[in-house]
Formats: sequence, C-alpha cells, structure tokens
Amino acid sequence: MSEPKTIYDKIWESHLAYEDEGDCLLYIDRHLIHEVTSPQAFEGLRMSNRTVRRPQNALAVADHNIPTTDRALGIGDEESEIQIQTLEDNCKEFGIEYIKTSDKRQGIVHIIGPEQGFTLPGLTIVCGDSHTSTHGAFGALAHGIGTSEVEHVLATQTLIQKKAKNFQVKINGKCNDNVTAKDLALSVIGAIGTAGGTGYVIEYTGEAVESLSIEGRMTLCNLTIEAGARAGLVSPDQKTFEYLKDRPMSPKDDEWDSAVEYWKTLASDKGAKYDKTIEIDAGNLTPLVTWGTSPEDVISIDGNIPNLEDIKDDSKRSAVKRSLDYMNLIPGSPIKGVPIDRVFIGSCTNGRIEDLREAASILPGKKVSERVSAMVVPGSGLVKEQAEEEGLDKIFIEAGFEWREPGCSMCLAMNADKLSPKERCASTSNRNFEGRQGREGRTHLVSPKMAAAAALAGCLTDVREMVL
Amino acid sequence: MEKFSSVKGISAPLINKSGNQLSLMMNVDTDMIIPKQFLKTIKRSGLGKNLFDEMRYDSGGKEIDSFILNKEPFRKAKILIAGKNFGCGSSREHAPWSILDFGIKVIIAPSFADIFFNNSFFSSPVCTVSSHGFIDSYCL
Repeated sequence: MSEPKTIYDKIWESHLAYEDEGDCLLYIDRHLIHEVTSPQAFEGLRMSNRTVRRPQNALAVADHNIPTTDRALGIGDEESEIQIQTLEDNCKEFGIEYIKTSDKRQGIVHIIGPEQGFTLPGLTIVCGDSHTSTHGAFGALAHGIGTSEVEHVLATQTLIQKKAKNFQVKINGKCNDNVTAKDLALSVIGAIGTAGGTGYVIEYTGEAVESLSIEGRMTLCNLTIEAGARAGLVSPDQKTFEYLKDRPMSPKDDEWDSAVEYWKTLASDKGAKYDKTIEIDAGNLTPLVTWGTSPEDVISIDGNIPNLEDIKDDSKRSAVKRSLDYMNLIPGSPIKGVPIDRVFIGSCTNGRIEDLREAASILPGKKVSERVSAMVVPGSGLVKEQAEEEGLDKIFIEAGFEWREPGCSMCLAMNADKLSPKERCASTSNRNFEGRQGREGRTHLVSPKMAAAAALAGCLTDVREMVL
Repeated sequence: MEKFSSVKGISAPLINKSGNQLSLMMNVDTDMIIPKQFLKTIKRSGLGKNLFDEMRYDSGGKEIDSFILNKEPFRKAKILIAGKNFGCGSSREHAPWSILDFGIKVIIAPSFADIFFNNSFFSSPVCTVSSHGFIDSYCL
C-alpha cells in the first residue's frame, strides 16, 4: 500500500504536468477572471499573437470596480467603465464566458464560483486575486496569482510552481455561541502571524472545522492568505457534495455519481504526514476584533489593546506603535466601547447568505446608532435575491442599514464606497491595512454578527452581551 | 525585461521609529505599495509616480518631506530595503510594476510574501532574501 497522503499531495500529484529539479508545471482546471488583474494579461496575449488555450475552462465577472448603487445609473467613473468594458471585450475576443453586470448572477468572483458549481473538489483553481484561497473550502487547490501568471494560464492552462509544504491547522472542540468561522480564522492568523503560512498550504482539520457549514469553511479558507499561505484546504465530505448537487455547472446524472466517488478519495489519508501542525481549541475562543493594521493584530472583544512596553521584539514594537498611531487607539485600554462611524457587511469573506442571516438575527426591533452609517453589500445577485426572499433586506433597512447591489465594495474601496479620512469602521472584510478602506480610514475586522452589534451600539461591542 | 548581473546605486531603507529605536518596516503590504485607486489602469507602465502614494504624498497631493523616497539622494534609489514579509496582501502585480517603474531594481528583505515573490519573478524587481542581522547592521 502506498504512503498515506494529504489532500494537497493528492491534488498536486494528479495535476503535475512537468518537473525539473523542483520547478514544476501544474495543470490548471479552472480560471476565474475579473476586471482589475486581467487587462494586461490579455494585452500580453495579443502582443505575442497567442490564443487562450482552453477558454471553456475560464469564467469572468466584474466585481472590484463596480458601483453598489442602482445599476441602471451606469458605472459613473470613466476609468472603471473602461476597465469593465475591456474585460467584456477581451472575453468576447477570446471566447470566454462573461457574466454581465446586468446579470443577476453577477457578484464577487469567489462567491459566484461556488454558487455556479464552477468550483468543485479536487480541481486546481486560480484567479488574479489573493482571496482565491476561498475555494479550498471544497477541497480544491485554489490560490491567487499575479497578472503575468494570469497570462501564462490563459496561454498554456498551466502554472509554474514549486511544491509547498503541508501545514495542518487542527481546530478541536466546538465553537461557543456567537463564535463564528470568522473568529476561527482570525484566531489562526493571530496565532501564527501574517507570515506564519508562507511556503505552506494550510489544511484545516478537526471537529470545529467538520462542524462548520460549507459557507463557514469558505470564510476560513478565504482568510488563509492573511496568514501567508496561498492556499487553504478542507477535505470534502457529505456537506460538500450536498452543497454542490444541482448547481448550474456541477456534473449531472451519471457524471455526478462518478464525480462523488472520486471526490470521496480526496480526503487526507489517516496517518498522512504534515511538515507542521498546530492545534487550537475552539471552545476557548470568544468573538474577536482586530485593533491594528495587520490581520494578525487580533484580540478578544473583552481584551485590551497592547501596551508597547510588553512587546520585546524591536521591529514588532515599532510596527505596533505605527499601527496604534494610525488607528488612534490608546495602548492598554479596552477595545470594547471604542466608538465607530461606519459598518460594512459584505465581501468575499462574509458576503454570503449565512453571513447576512447571522447579522440580521440580532437586528429586529432595534435601530442603528445615530452616529453610524451602516451598509450591507450582498456577495452576489443570487445572494441578494435569496436574502430578499427571506425578508432580510427589510430587517436591515428597518434597522437603518443601506441595502446595496453586489460587488467587492468597501472591502478594498475601489468604487465609490470608502471611508473618509479618520473614519472608523467595523468591517466583515479581510484586511485592515493602512488605507485599505480609504485613505486614513481605520478598519476593525469582525464577524457579521459583531459588525451588526457594533452598528446598534455605535461602538465596538460584545455581541454576547447584546444577545442576552 | 532588462537583464543585469549587478546593481550599484542608492539604497533606501523603509524605517519605523519607536522612541529612539529604528526598525525596518515589516509586513509592508501591497495596499501600501500601490493603493487601489491606481489599479484602474489597463497598462503596466506609469505606476512609479504613485509608488507608496499614501506615505509619499499628503491628501492634497503634496510630497511629505519626511518620507525617504522624497529625500535626496533616495529619489534615485535603485535598491529598497525593508523588514520581513515584504509584499504581503493582495496579488496585484501592480506592486512590483510600480517599484520597477520608480527605478528600483532590487528589494532586500529578510522574507517576502509568496505571491509578491512570484510576481517579481515574472516582472522584476529582483527580490533578495537576506538575514535580519546583515540588513540591520548595514543600514540602521
């Protein structure tokens, strides 16, 4: 019997097309494309007179630039309009399926992939976006690439790679009430740091991961890149198969049955070896919030902002000093009660239906604080439609939230949705970097429920107290 | 891509201060390197003027005197020196494009984020991994 393997080893081996002293060519099954990182790649193809090797393996949609206000009003920004039109034109020229901005399936690329059944277990998936790690929730080897690599995949359907090492993050036990997949992910980043996963593929295992819904696993894998690993993976199980059954692009009939048989062989073997393993006990976790300008700057909502003198490492201390100055926070003071101006619920991290349900669950009969401007941006047109069928839009609107059209929106603030200088935001997105949500804007990363609680309280607050 | 085997030029360290303590800036992310508003281009060129935009210019677009790349002789820097995990964050290849377009050919740091490192492999600048001790004794 052959040596036990991890799911990463299995997918890697089945896609390895060529190897020369560690430099490998990996066959890529699926390619997701958006407007920001692709124009120069298509231009490169034209310059070298090349075609797209397998256009049927790609799917394109505009998400980063798109306004979240009424679509009928147009894009409203000349550069964004050119970029989105360029994507549409390139897709037409090279024969790639493009989901139009007026299509109800339009949305964030990492939300529509799974929604359409384009994302399947055992596949290699790339996209010119670092949060491609999201798709690892299905047991697909998925990671972000740069524009030159986008061009390489378009031209050859392969990617130059070196094999990464295997990193097991085992999350034991059960999550307490109000502790979500977002909190699990933030706790991992806090534990290993933003470079902790560099050179690795992270596989999430353990009871808490198995108990997560597929959407929760997507949140967990989505944030893997914030821990430095390009790809996150969860071995597929019955939940994965149920989620994918009857999706528009999922296999059908006999093909479905044989696909499921194959997918069942993907899970990491018992006794598989990992280069590194850490264990976390989900039962010890509380709702988390970031205080600084790196996703590793994580504390419990009932914790205190760090004191500079407690940090021994010089570079870390000067980084924390810079972060606290930028965030305008007092070292050593409680994070709970810090007043906020804005709330953003959405993004490829937390813009799915379960995220919206979670956030809405604490809102009925309550109002958003007068000092807060709050918005919900569903991750796709289909998420929006589903939410409206369930009446979630009414709950948000009645509480005082704005209910917007789908897109990346204020996660990276490439469209009109952004923080003004010094504004402080409780955000369900993935990055609290300086300027990420707008120049001099201050971002605190939280779960959807924590974001909704902050909107009501007007400050960072403990959702556990609010629910009780 | 221009080929070269050695680079001689000004090196600019990115530094954080905490009291009298100077440290190389760690976790320099791609949003810092080239903010999102400059990703709307459909070209690879012309991004150098917006490299480190929010650290380099005030909100009115005026240069911030204290930022190293606004000082002589660092305006002509060919080498950039930073702390660990340089280039973390988004996969935007606009980050290495903007560094190269500014005129920087080599980045020296103790470690780089994976996607940035790969992007630089395609489009340069050259990323050079060096130990903390060497870099600190060299430039601090």
